[in-house]
Amino acid sequence: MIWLNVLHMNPVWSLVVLVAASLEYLMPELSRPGVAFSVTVDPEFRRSARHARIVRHYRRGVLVSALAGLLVAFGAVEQVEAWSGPAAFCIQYIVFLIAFLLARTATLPNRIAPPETREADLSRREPPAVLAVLVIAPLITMAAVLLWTYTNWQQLPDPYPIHWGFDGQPDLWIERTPMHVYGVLGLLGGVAALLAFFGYGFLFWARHNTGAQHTRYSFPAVWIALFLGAEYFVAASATLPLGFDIRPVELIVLALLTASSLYLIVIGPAGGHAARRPDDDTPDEAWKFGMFYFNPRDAALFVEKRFGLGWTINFGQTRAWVLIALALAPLGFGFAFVMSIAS
Amino acid sequence: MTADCEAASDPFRLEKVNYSRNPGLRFAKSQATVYSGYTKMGTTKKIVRIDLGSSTPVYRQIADQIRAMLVAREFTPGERLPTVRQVAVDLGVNHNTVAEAYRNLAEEGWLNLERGRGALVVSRSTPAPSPKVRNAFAQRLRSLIAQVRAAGVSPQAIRSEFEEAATALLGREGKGTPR
Repeated sequence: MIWLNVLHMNPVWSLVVLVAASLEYLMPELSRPGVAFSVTVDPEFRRSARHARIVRHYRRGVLVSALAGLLVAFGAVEQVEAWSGPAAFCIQYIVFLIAFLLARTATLPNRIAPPETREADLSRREPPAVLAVLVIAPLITMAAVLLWTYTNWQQLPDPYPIHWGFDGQPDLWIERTPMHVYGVLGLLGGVAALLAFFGYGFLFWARHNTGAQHTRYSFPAVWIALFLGAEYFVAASATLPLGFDIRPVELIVLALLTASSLYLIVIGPAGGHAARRPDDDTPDEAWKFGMFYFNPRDAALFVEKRFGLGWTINFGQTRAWVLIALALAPLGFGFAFVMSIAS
Repeated sequence: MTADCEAASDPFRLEKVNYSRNPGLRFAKSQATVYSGYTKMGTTKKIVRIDLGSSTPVYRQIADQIRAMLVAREFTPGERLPTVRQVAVDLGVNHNTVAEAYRNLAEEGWLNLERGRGALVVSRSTPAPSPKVRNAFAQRLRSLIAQVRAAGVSPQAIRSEFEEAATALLGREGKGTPR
């Protein structure tokens, strides 16, 4: 339960703000050649002076967003002092959003109609079913921990540890009550289920186009690895109070997560956009505010983001709303739970 | 523009892309092999290409292209086509559109549809050709030739395209006496 500690750790939130702003600063470079600020454009436009000017203004906005976020994180705004970390993140994101929308509005007059041809490779086979088992395995682990907790209640440590230091020793405890213990497990289970849903969705409900026109394959293997790694990490954390020493596993998973993230940013599909097809098989009008994809006619539940790293949900699908409900449930529960412990 | 690029941009052309003639596309193929892990080394892609701006409904474009592959024996009996969901996701269209194309092909006797497992290609006995079918074919062919000739395609190019398409789809089948 690192949340309790990091809520007021401004250096951590400052780092989050800086990383987010750095990525947003680089975003125009990471977009496909035929897309600028989520608008379909001629690749030539990306090399024009007008585009360079729009990017310059946008980047100025991102720098302002980072500055605003850091000011809030370090207590410049007294009204939000208790929540200065999360508030800093929100302020940074809101200012970035304004900069993005302004850049998008400036780009819209240069919009061209996206190509209407699409391809699918009928020789492509779906990922093997064993990958689905890999996605579900951590959830089975969580269920086993829950069962063990229920049947061996008296053997659980009291107070119940919820946070561990780098030396492997617990440094934060809560009273061993059913509400606390099952609350922690429920929260971890909810987060693991959400990560599993994303991992499964990337595997089976996302576009894996290998058509002849695709000079670079956008298979999100590293994204899947990232989500699976996070899922295993969360599930492994649930075994900690039972006395398991998972530090070696944690270190390996953390190293993999870091390597995957760096790959995605520096040399992965995101960094290789220049070598890829200019367009992304999605119509412009389906991108609401350039950020949210709403297309009931598209069977894909996840599509590649036009502006930003990774994938986003197709809000035009009913399943997407189920996913959002699933996401909000553990987050809401976690928030209420943390507040109840904090009080 | 290379022949392969022409092939990729010409909606009338339904041939397989020839990787050996274009190093760029060969690179694309090797990339697909490396990244996907699901396209076996050495297998040729079986590409379905649709045009959302075309007046031909999308389900018919899909059905026509898969039928062409089936006639050319790119899929043999016992092979499976990908699931409706997979093709719909890759093309970015609704499930029902692909399901309709598969249903049409199943009604023609090419496929056996199995829920959730894709479509199984079945062996299909060629029906006896009725004069009505032959007349309709001749009429469509004449109309198509007139259309492309009017658009400026040379008679030599039309003949060459026709022969190439017939060879690709029928192989040596059409060499004997006409039935």
